[in-house]
Parts: sequence; C-alpha cells; structure tokens
Amino acid sequence: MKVVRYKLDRLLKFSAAAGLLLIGQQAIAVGTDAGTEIDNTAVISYSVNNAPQADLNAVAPTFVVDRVVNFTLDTDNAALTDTAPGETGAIVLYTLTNIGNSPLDFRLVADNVTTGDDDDMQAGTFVAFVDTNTNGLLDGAETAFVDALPEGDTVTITVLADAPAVVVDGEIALVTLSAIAADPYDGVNTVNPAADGSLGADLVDGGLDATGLIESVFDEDGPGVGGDGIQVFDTDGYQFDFTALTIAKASAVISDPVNGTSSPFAIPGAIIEYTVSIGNPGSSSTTSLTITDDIQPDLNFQISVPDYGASGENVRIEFTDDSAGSTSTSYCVAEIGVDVNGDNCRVDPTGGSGGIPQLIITVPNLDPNDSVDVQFRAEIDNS
Amino acid sequence: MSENQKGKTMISRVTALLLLLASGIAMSQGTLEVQTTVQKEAVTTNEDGERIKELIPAETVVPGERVVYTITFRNTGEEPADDVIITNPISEELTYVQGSAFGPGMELQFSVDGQSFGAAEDLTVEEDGETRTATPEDYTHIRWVMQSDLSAGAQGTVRFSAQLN
Repeated sequence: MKVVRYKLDRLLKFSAAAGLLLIGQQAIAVGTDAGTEIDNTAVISYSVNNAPQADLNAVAPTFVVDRVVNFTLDTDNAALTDTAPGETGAIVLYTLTNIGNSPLDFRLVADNVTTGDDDDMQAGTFVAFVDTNTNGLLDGAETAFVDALPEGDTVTITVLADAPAVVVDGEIALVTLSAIAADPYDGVNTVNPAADGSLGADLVDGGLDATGLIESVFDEDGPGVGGDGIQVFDTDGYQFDFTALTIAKASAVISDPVNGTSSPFAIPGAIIEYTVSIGNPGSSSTTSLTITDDIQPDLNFQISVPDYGASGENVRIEFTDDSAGSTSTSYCVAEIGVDVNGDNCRVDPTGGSGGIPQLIITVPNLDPNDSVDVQFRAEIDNS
Repeated sequence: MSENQKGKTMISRVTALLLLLASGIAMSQGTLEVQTTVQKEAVTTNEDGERIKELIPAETVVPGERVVYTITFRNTGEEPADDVIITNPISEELTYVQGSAFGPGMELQFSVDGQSFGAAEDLTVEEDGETRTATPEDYTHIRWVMQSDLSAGAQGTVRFSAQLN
C-alpha cells in the first residue's frame, strides 16, 4: 500500500519558497527541530459519592520528532567560470541551503561531466569543500564535506578543478556536483548538534521505524513525493574564453650611410628598427610569454644600441598595463649565445629556421588588454 | 488540598512517570483506570484511487503531520464516578486541529491560558491591543466535562488531533 504522507500548508509554503532562500544567509527552516520529544499528559479529576478523588494522570507515550531531509543545491552565479588553458585550481561556486528541521552533514562529490552537447572539454582533479577563509584553497581546518549545516542556513561550496592545457576558445568543461545528506549526529539522538569535524554516514529514507529514535524523511522532491537525499547540479563549470594574442611587426629606417638620420633610405648599411607588438584582447592572462624572431642573413643584429642605454642594451621593451593605466619601458641585453646576465634576452646563433640566428626574449605576462612592444635594431648588410 | 492529599498526588505522579516508559499501559487510582495512545494520521490511497485517512503508529512524525491522542478511561470501582473532567494541555510544539476533539456525552471546552475554560466561540485573546476570537493556534488546553455519571464498569473515550509545528 502506498502511504501518502499528510502534509500541510506550512510545508508547501516552505518548499515553494526554497528558490528564494538561496539569497539570504538565514533561510527559514521547517518546523519543530528533529529530536524534540513530544509529550502529552491529560489530567482526569472525578468524585465518588461527592468526595473528590486524587487527580489521575493520563500519560501518552513520548514520540520523537523525525528529520525532514530537504535542501537545495544551486550555482551561485549563472555564468560559467572564465578559465585559462592549463589553469590549476579554477573555482566554481555553489550554494547549498538546508530547509529541513535538523542540521545536516553533506558528503560532496565533484566530477567531470563527460557527455552532452554543451560539454566539449574535460577538466580534472576535482576538489569540493567549504572554503571558510575564502582563499581558494582547501587548507587549515577546512573540510571536504559540510559539517552540521544548521537548518535554514546556506553554505557556499567551492569546487576546484584543473583545466586542460590545450583548448579552443569558447569550449566548455562542465562539472557535476552532488551533495548527499549525511547524519550530523553520528548515530546519537541530539537536537541541533554542532559541527563535530567528522562526516556522518549517508542518511537512509525511513529506516528505523521507532517512536524514540530520529528517522529521516526525504522530502527534496516536494511534500509527499520524497526524494533520495541527493541533490545534483551539473550545468555549471568552466569556459575557456580567450582570444589568440595579436602580433604585428613593423620596421622603420633610422639612418643610412648617405643621408644620416634625415630621410634615410633602406640601403645597404642602413639601420632598421623593428617593432614587434603583442596585444592580449582576450579575457585570460598569459604565462611564459616568449617572443622569437629569426634574423635574416642579410641583417646584422646590433650588438649594442646607443639609444637603448649605456650598458650594451640592444632590446627595448615597452609594456602597457591596461588595468593600471601605465606604460613602463625597460631594456635588456641580447647576448649572442648564452644569456650571460640572466635577463631572459639572448640570440641563439643557429636557433632560427634553416639555422639562422634567432632572437629570444621573455616579456612580461599580459593580462587582458595589456600590450607589449619589443624593439631592436639591425643593419642591412653592406659587405 | 490537605498536605496529605498533596503527598498522595505527588506519589501518583511519580508512579505515572515510571510507567511512562511503557506504551499504552493501564494506570489506575481509586476507581478509574486510564489508557492513552498516540497515533499518526496518514492518508492512503486505496485500489480505487480513493484517498482514505487512517491511523498508523506514531513512529515517523515530521513537522506538518498530524497526531491523534486517544484517552480511554474506565470505572473499575463499585460506585459511579461523578464530575469526571479530563484536562489536556497541548504541547507547545503542537497545534490543535480545529473540529477534531471528540467525546460522546462530553461538553467540550478550550482554554488559551490554562486558567479559564469555555466553549470555543466564547474564547478571546488580546492581540495588539485588540480583542479577537481565539483560533486553534491559541488553544493551550482542551477540556472534556462529562455530562453524566460514569457508571461502575462503564468506559468512555475522548480524542483529539494536533499538528506538529
């Protein structure tokens, strides 16, 4: 026989309000706390032959209020997390709200969504936890489960994952997060237990059938419908939103042997200044950005450029920091061979295509909308 | 009440508490014997798809559900019992279900303070400086006043439903 539990308006209202409860830190919980003992004692008075008799107590068996397991799991933000290729510990946040009548532990399981039209890429190394100190790391006394979330309260769940290194702009890696209701009491009947640093066993619907023990009534699917004590959210995750860097190369004739610096021409012996410009129009920051440029055989790379400094510097780097609104200029020495001074600036004599010299320069990382110009000079071979 | 009577009542309450641990156990004092049960109201659907209310053991009870208390009393003495009055305080976690109190041959009264009792329609409460008719949420006690003697060997039953807050 199917037993449809008798639910009342109060419960319906609370369930309907569940969607709204996510916003507040202090949502309203459902009813009397689980574990509360309910007594009932009636008193009977009577007389015999008009002589009052002592009152008689009619004591009903005590029953214990059982546990309504009802909670919601949602993303804290409808947007996917913008993630860079190869990023480790990229964060997706969720909110978990307990709208039952008892504190609950929750076991957390984060995993990769492997199929579906919206899921192109697979992230890995998932960690789900409560980031109490909001530093984006599971550290200190933080736990990879929810410990005794009080009824009516909302907690933020942090999921970390590592992004694949090679992705295509716009691709998505979805995450599935499951919250499984677990016993906050660890087998002990207690009203409103506090966090105890341990994760209880997964709860079981019904079960004990005893008047004196707390049982669980799964209710997440709606009053009278039941549930399985598990809530899953699987439409949030990571989006690889970046645009390839822009790169441009320009040249200008600085001087020639005939005209000097006045209207010089690109004739043998002329000094040419090359400017390699790199921009980052995307939304991700670069790491390990290195510029290489092959120096053609008919050009003599300038070992020292007087305009670039007094210590043999021959490369000029102009970095524009978009967020700071500032531009800074630095110089480095591109030695032929070994990077003697360790400034990440050198010429590999045979590193270029076909064994020609190649200029190799590590430049500052570019945050979105930052740009860098790298300048160096060469002489048109006149030998 | 004399000191002696007070002492006697105390003892009977202690006895009652000791017996509380057992469900539905009969307790007697003087010439009345009383038994109380608690059950849960459940709505079941039968083979014809009709919804039927039934009483099941109060094993799993969660907020919003209703429990039913049934008090059965019997006169085990030789003489009739007069002026039988049953007073049932309503636990603060429970709300009386309107119209649920039942007691054949009984006058039904309620109270909102445990002191004065009266018919439901006569009870009022003060709220925000206004006087209004009491609602079931306000009731703190139910009282059944038996309108006749309880003959030797006779028994009676009273019952009410309450919703767990």
